[in-house]
Amino acid sequence: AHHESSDTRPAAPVLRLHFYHSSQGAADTGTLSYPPGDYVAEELCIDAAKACCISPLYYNLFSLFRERDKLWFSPNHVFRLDESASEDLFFRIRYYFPGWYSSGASRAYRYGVKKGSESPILDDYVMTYLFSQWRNDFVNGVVRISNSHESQEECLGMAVLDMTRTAKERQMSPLDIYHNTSYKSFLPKDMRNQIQDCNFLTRKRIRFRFKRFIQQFSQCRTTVRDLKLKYLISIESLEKTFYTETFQVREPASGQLIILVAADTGIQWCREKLKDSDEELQTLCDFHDVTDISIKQACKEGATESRLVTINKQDGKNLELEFPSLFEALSFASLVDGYYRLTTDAHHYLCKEVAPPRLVEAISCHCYGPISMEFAVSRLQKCGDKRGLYILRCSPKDFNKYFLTFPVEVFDTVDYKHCQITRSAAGEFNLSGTKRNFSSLQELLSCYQKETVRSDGIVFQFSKCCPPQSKEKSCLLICRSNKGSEVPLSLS
Amino acid sequence: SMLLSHHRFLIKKLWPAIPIPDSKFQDLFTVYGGDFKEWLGQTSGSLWVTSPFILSEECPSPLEVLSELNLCPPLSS
Repeated sequence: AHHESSDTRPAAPVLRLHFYHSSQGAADTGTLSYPPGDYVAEELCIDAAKACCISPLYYNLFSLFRERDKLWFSPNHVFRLDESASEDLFFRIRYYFPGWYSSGASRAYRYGVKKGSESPILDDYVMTYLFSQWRNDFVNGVVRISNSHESQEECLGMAVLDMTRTAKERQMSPLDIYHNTSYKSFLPKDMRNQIQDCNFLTRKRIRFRFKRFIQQFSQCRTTVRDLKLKYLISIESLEKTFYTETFQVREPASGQLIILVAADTGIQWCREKLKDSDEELQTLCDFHDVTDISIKQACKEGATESRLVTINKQDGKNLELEFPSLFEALSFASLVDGYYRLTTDAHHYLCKEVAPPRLVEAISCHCYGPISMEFAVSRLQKCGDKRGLYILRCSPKDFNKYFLTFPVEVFDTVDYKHCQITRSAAGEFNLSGTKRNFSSLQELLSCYQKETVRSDGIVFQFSKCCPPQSKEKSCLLICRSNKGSEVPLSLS
Repeated sequence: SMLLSHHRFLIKKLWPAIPIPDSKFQDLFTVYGGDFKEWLGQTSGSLWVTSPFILSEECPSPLEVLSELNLCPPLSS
């Protein structure tokens, strides 16, 4: 999907795509390097997802982030990089759902084919990635942590978990790690400095109590996975900033505002001076209240950089927010758009300026996202398993595969076939078993819809597509921990 | 009493309350006998038992397009 430079000699990499954790084990961080060329953010994300074992079902929780200016890129952003360019991007989890680890009353989950078949929002690969990302943010002080006594004890508790985890991974005893590495290196930068500022006796007391507890904790029966899980649960309760994004905007009527966006609370705002008090947060709207978002230049002398974002809502009203730059406006729009797809409608975008290219392509040929085989079969059953009916869907395992799923009658029962379509590196589509390649899914379908095909001796046609329904509940959609009762059940 | 409060002040200065990690692991050793998983499940409102979303194996079906078969001789495999 990217254009290599026409020059054949190997160019020096100008784009480095970093991740916090790689599947290759040994190294804790990894990097992919790219020569000069044009790169679509979505394709870079897919490259990183493959390198980190993130499957298509979970990859829409991730986005690209630039640390330099703390900017998130929309999936359709194109990086145009010549020989003199230098770009460092991070593959990060952007969309986070509190309570994802719980199976109790306040759980957040992915919808199942039927009641009782709900599934977790993340798998272990995503959890491991989230751990590496948040650990980085925690230790390096990317997110400020309160210095209350309560928070400091939580941080020390997390350091115990982390030191024990490190010991298990290196097959050493936690006490060995304690002797080799200062316990302070497991704490946030700010807290390290605070401890450093204490007098000698206090420092010694803190160190002694930590050592004594690490010794006691090493008697615990536990696993690396559970230690990571507890670490993440602690971070979630410690500081919302880990999963809340804020934007500074101007609103025509109210002046300067801070906008906060998070999965459970939707879009909220507060006045600039009140940003530290929770009670003053007002809800602007939830994701499912939004019908579309548009971005246009704010017409103002001397402020050509700023952009006006209009959020149109279900109730017919709209909100106008002025962002200081186009990039911030796009970042905000892609955040709301991404949450909308995860909570409300997996096959729809709110803002064409930030729409993921692969989603636009999928919508044009009524292709489902990476739903499971069970869901595809259940959908066909609901449509009466009619002859010629088919579902086109992305593979839940492989970013470059699609399936055509359709019912066939075998004697008196209905069986389901799954024919595979492969997308080549050059972007060409081929239906397995056929000889022609097509430049789009749409062309491939319109060709074979006119043909008679045969599979295992059964002759049939793909005549009628069964498209995704608006707001259809599937494993692509997440029920948030606090919204379980509010969301009406699927109409299908 | 002047002396006593001065005494307390000195103690607080020399021996201030320090943060300790123990308080975040209440009951882990006393009630749960060091079983971290059990303790974690009980204190975090029960956790997912099966963690990964289990995907059934996708086995693509073979396919032939009849018109292509008529046009081209079958390829030897």
